[in-house]
Amino acid sequence: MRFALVFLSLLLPLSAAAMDAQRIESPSGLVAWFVHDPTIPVVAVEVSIAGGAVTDPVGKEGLAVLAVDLLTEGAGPYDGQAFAALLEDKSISIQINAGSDFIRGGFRAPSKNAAEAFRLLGLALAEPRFAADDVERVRQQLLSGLTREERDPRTLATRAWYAAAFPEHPYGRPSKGSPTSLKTVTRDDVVAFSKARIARESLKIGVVGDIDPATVGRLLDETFGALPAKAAPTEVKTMPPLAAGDVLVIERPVPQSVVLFGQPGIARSDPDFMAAFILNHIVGGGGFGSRLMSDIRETRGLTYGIYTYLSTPKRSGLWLGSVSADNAKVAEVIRLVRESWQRLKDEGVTAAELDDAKRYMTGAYARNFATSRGIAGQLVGWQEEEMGIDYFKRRNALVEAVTLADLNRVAKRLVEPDKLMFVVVGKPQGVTPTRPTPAPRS
Amino acid sequence: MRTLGFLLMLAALGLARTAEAQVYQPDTFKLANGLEVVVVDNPRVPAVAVMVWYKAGSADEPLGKGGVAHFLEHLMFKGTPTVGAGEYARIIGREGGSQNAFTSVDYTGYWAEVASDRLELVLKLEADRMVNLELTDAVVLPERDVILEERSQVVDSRPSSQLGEQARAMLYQHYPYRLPVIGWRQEIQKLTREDALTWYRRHYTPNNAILVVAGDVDVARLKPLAEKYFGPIPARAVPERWRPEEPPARAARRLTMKSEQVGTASLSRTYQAPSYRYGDSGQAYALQVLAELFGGSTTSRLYRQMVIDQPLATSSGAYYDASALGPGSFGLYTSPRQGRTVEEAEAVLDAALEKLLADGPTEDEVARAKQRLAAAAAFARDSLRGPAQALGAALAIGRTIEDVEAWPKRIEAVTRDEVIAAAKAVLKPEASVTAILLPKPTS
Repeated sequence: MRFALVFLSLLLPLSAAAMDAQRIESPSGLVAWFVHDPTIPVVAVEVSIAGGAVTDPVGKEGLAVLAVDLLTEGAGPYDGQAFAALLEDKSISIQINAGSDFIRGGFRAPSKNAAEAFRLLGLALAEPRFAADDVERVRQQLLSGLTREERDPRTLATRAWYAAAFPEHPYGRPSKGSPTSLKTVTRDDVVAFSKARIARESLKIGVVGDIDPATVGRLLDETFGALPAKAAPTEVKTMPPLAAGDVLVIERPVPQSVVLFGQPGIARSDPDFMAAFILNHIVGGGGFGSRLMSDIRETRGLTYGIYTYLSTPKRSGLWLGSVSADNAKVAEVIRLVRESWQRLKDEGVTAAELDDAKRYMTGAYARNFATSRGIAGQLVGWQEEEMGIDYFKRRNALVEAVTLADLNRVAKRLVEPDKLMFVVVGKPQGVTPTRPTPAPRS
Repeated sequence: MRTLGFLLMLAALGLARTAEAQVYQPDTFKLANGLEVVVVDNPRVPAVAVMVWYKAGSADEPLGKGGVAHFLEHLMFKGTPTVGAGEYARIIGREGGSQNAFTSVDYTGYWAEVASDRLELVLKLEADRMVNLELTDAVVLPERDVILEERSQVVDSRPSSQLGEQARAMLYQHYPYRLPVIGWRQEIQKLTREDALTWYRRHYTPNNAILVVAGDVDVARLKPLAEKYFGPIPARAVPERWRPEEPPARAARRLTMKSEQVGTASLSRTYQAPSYRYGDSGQAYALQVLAELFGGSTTSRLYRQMVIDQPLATSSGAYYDASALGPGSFGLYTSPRQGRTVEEAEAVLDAALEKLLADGPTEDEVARAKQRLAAAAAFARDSLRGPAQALGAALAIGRTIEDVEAWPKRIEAVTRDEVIAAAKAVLKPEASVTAILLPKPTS
């Protein structure tokens, strides 16, 4: 029951004890971060591989997503149906997805089937079949999704925001591509992608559950040993979003406008990141009780919800928010967001707000570890972001160490009301665009 | 609904002290004022999920007051003489907890997840708002606007939600499940503070509620706390939970909606079905097996025939929801590939259905579906709130703990003949509503 003790220590005022993540090195030198949790008969694994949609060639947007979706549609000796039946019969769920900077995958399985789950994950990564029929079928499924999303106000807003913020940069292109680009991707492209990208070099692995470290070590080699050592080189530059206070409007015949807003954020590695994270919690990250939720929903009833978040892709930093409001009210919502942003810059936050935010963040942290997949995901995230295997032990102290002076200094540094860029999708009343919306790329 | 099936089973399976799953019983007790209490001792993390369920949902609303159950759910966060408006959420947040609430056709539920040493605080707050809610127009009216925005966001901006709402109104001809939980816009606009309080006084009383606590907790610790905070709340007479019966269905119903907001066509067909608490409830287990084998996964019949074996559809499946006080529903859905039509997809779906009804599933299909459903047990405790959700939902529609615990056995006992009989009883065209969503070219 080490786990329970560990969490207890966290939820109580700061304690030296912490979750015992260990580093396992396989006989051939593969490394996994591992948490032994024998309390339930489950094993979960998460892996991350550098490179995702950012590596898609211009004109072939959607390649990474298509290729990665196909990994679990047949591998090794199994066609797609046989592969799926094996997973179902052993109660194993495997997911592998391409994000923009990373390919993330993993499984959850009953511990008695863990070895089989490792084997099937290994086959999916190393020996995908990419049968022509399956390539076409999954392409059609993605196209169907794209056709749906092209009419979804939230997706439209997100795409337009990124296209405006990242012209000429891969972050400005939709990960899933467009119907046009997806149709140009060939089976050869997909095969080449998997050979070039899925390699041991950047592999990060998290393992959690009812399994012993020696077995994990052996399975790591059996699962990932067949992958090529090196991935093809990629070069993607670092770039802050270009946000210069614009308002873009995309007209759609819907009763409610969807708004995405944002400004440059902060890199995960920046020493001020934690202060910025707390600042975001106070202004709009904390749900009920955040400033924006309180002003715009609770006091005025203008929306069902408003949220802000820091986004830290590998090569940028963004501070984003989203809200929906009826077309007649959205102009007022935008005005209130701007005012709130200005107040944050001018006046900072109060000691009471900081104290509440710290209490929430330190108390809630443990709930990121309430499921096996959740824990495995944390282990991999720390590796991607180079946080150190002892991050769990240090994290709440990092939160506690942030002072009011830090927060108000960071508010001055980071908060830029004049740069907030709004994309509004709907039939907003009283909202004047500052310039035309750029056409979607690809 | 499969998820609920999983959860129900989880609750029945319970705590494993070793790597092999063992059976555990949720503990239950009742206070003198009628409050039912369920305890799920699962100390994997030192946290608890606290849920309070009220046996009142939108299907219990008086005609003309549609949405009042959901309206009150929102207003339950608006304070008491000792806890200010909006303070409940802030207090839980300051303690590192999360909280929210939900309303369904049959019940309304409130939950919080906190460190287990904050259990007492949550019980105190929940007991307080069970009896001391205080509402003023200053907080009620903006919240009604929030709900109208919620309706704009989750229904009125989404053609699929609008069509679903219309289809429900056709599937149930008389039963109140025909009405949307959130309410129709024109009725929400007229709900008042007094409507909410009338609903509150009628239904929010300990003898109409269930307290479920799951996680790092046991009866010895919970019972004195429950007595201390909920014990003093007096029971009040609650109106009998009367629900009408559906008349026989005589005609297949179809509806089509076209919208510029729709990118790809889709078809959804729903059949009225028995549930755990309505109609021939013995069929509820066979229907779960039927939904799983016919369209529950990517190796199911529908997915294979419509998505894999021929380039016809991008998705296809089946689902069944047994967890209701009133009639349940059995659903089929598909979405054609680009270049193929809904008519083509429906013809193949109908042929698959005819074959299923004529020949029945194979023994192997039945065995695999049962095995897959039952296998979810392995993940029983990989969640804090899941078991509390399942047990609360079951008790709130008048099921028993024993019934929930018998789920794996009942699934195991399902035979091929029972699946065939249930399919024939439920999958009748005249009991169905077929809803088709089509793109409309932008003008």
